[in-house]
Amino acid sequence: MSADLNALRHLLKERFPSAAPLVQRTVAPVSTGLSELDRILPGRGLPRGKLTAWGPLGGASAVLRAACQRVVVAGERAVWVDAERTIGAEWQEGPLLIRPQDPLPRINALRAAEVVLASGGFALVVLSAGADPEGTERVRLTRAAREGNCAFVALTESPSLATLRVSSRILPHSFRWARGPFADPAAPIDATVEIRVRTLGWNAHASVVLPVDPYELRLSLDPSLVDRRGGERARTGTRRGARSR
Amino acid sequence: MERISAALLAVSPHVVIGARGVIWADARGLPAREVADAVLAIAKEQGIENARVGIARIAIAAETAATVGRTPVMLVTPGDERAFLAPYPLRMLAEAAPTPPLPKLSAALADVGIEHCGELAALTLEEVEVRFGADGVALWRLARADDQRRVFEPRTRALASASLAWEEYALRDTERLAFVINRLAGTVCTELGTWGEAARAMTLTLALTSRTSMERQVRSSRPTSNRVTWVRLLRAELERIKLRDAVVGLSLRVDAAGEMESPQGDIFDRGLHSSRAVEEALTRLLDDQQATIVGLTRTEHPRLEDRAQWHSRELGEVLRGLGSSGKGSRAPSLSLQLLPRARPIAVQTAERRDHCVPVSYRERAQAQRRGAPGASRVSEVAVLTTVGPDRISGGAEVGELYARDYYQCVTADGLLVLLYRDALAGQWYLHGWWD
Repeated sequence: MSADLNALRHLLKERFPSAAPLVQRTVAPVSTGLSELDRILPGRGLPRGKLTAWGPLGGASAVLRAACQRVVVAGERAVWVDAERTIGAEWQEGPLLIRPQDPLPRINALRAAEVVLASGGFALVVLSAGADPEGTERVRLTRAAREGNCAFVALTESPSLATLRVSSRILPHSFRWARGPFADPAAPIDATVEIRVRTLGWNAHASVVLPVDPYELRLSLDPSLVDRRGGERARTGTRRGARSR
Repeated sequence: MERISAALLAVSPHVVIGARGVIWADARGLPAREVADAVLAIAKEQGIENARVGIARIAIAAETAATVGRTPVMLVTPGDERAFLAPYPLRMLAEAAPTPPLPKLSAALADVGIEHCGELAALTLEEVEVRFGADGVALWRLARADDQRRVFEPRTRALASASLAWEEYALRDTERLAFVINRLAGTVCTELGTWGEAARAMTLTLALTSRTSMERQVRSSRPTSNRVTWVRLLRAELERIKLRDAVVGLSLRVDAAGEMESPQGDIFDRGLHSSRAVEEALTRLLDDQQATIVGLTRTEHPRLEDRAQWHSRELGEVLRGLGSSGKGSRAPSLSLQLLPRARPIAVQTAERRDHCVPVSYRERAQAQRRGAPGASRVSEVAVLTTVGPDRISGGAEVGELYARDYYQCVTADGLLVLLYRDALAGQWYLHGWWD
C-alpha cells in the first residue's frame, strides 16, 4: 500500500510538477533579499508561477519593495501595480511602477497585472491593495502567473487560490524613538515586524527590525499667518474627551 | 520619343527622356550588353535606324559614347571613363554638359591651347579655379569623368495597404467586419515584415452603402509589424465606431512606417530572452490605455503631497532602462505611503503641555474601504504614541493658503499613521501611513 502511494506520488510529481506542494518543489524561487524572510519561505523565496497572498500593511510594502529591487539587481524584472496610488517619494528606480488609469482603476489594475504576468518577462509582480481580485478575476490572474512562470504577490486579506499565505504586523510596542528635549518621543527610529508564512505542510515565522524613513517635514511658517502655537486651547477649546471635526 | 520610352520600360525599370535626343535607360543590376541590344531592337521596331547606345557607369561617359561611338553599342569599361574622354575635343564635352559653359570659357581655354578633355583634366583644381573660375572647374570635373548628376531620381516606395470590397451584401456586424480586418492586417503586416519595416500608424477606411466613407486612424505606441497588435488596436477602434450605414468595403493602409527597431541586447541581462515578450506586453498596456508606467520626480515642496511629481514614461525610455540593474539593492524600510486625497477623520484629543494631541480617531463611514488603515472596523482606532505637532503653513504666494499640524501616531495595531489638522478649517485628516 505504502509502495503504491509512493509510486502514485512520484507519478504525480513527474506528470504535474507544478501541482507539487511548495515544500517539495525544486523550481528556483524569487529571493526577497531579506535573509530572515527567505529562511522561513519554502524553497527560500517567493514561488514562481504561484499566487502569494500577503495581508496588506504591517510592513508588507516595505519588504516587497525591497524584494522588487533585489530582483532588478539580480538582472531580472519586477513590476509593482500601484492600484491605490499610495507609493510616495521614497520609491527607488529599477522596478516598473504601473498605475491604472481612470475611470475603472481597479479593473484596469487587474488587466495590467494579467498582461504583465502572462508575458513571461517578469520574475516578480506585486499587486497592491485596492485592487483585490475576486472570484474569476483571481482564477485568471493565477493562471496568468502560471503561464508566465512569475512570482505573483497580491496584497490582499483573502487567501483564496493562494499557494502561499503571508501575514505581517508591526509590533506596537517595538518602536524605538529618538527623544526630544522633554524626553518625549520625537521621531521613530525603527520597529519590529513579525512575519508569518503558511502553506501546505509549512508554518514558520520570523521577526525583522525595519528602520522607519523620516518624512522630513520642512517647517515653513508663513509670515502672513498668525503663529498658533500656544493659542490652540483658547481658540478651539478642545479638551480630552471633546471631539473635533 | 514618348512612344519609344514607353516601349523601353519593357527592358529597363527606369527610362528618362533627356535633352538633345538622348534617352536614358537604367541598366544598374542588369546585364548591360543585353539591355543595350534590346534597346537597339526596340528602336529599330520604332523606325529609328541610326540609334546608338553608350554604356558606362558615369553619365557623361555614357552620353559621349553614344554620341561619338562608331558601333551601335559602345561600352566604356568601369574605371576607364577618364581615359575614354581624354582624346575627345572639349566642344563635345561642352555640348553634353548638364549646364553648357559660357562661350567666353571656350575662348579662354582655346587661348591657352587647351582643346581636348585630357589636356584640361591634366591641370590641377587650383590652376583651373584661378584661371577659369567656377565654370572652368565644372568643365574640368566633367573632363575627369567626375559627373555627380543623378539621371535617375530615387523613387519612394508606396507604403503597404490592402483592401476588400463586396457588392452582394452589406455588413453591420462587428464580428464579421473584424474577420475582414484580421485578413487585411495580416496582408499589410506580412508586407511590412518582408521589407523589415514597422508601422506606427494605420488608417482604416470603411466604404458605406451611402457611397460615403469613414476613416479612422489607429496608432501604436511603438512601431510594430506584429499582426496581433494591429488587429487588437483596429478591433478596439472598430468597437468605438458608430456606423452611419452598412459597410460594403474595407481598406487598410499604413500611414507612417519606419525601420523595425531591434535594440542591442545586453548579454548580462537575465531577462534578455524575454525582452520581446516584455516589449509586447508593455506596448499592449499603453496602447489599450489601461495603465501608465510612471516615473518619479522629487521636489522640495513643503507640502508632502507635492513632493512627488509622477509623470508617464515613454515606452522607449522604459525599454532602454529594463536591462540595467538599477542603483543597487536597498535594505527594506518603512516609508511613508500617502493617500492620493487625505481622508477626513473624527479625532479625540488630549492636552499635552500647550497643545492637544490625538488619542484616538475614527474614519467617516463613507471613507471605509478594504485594505486601508482602520478600515476593517468601524470602531475607534486607539493611538498609543503620538509625535508632533510639526506645523507647516504657506501658499500665500499662489493664493492657496494652508496651515497644518502634523502628528505621527502609533495605533494599537502597530501601524504608524500620519494625521494632520487643517488649522484653517479645523478639520482632521488621515494623510498616510508607514508601510
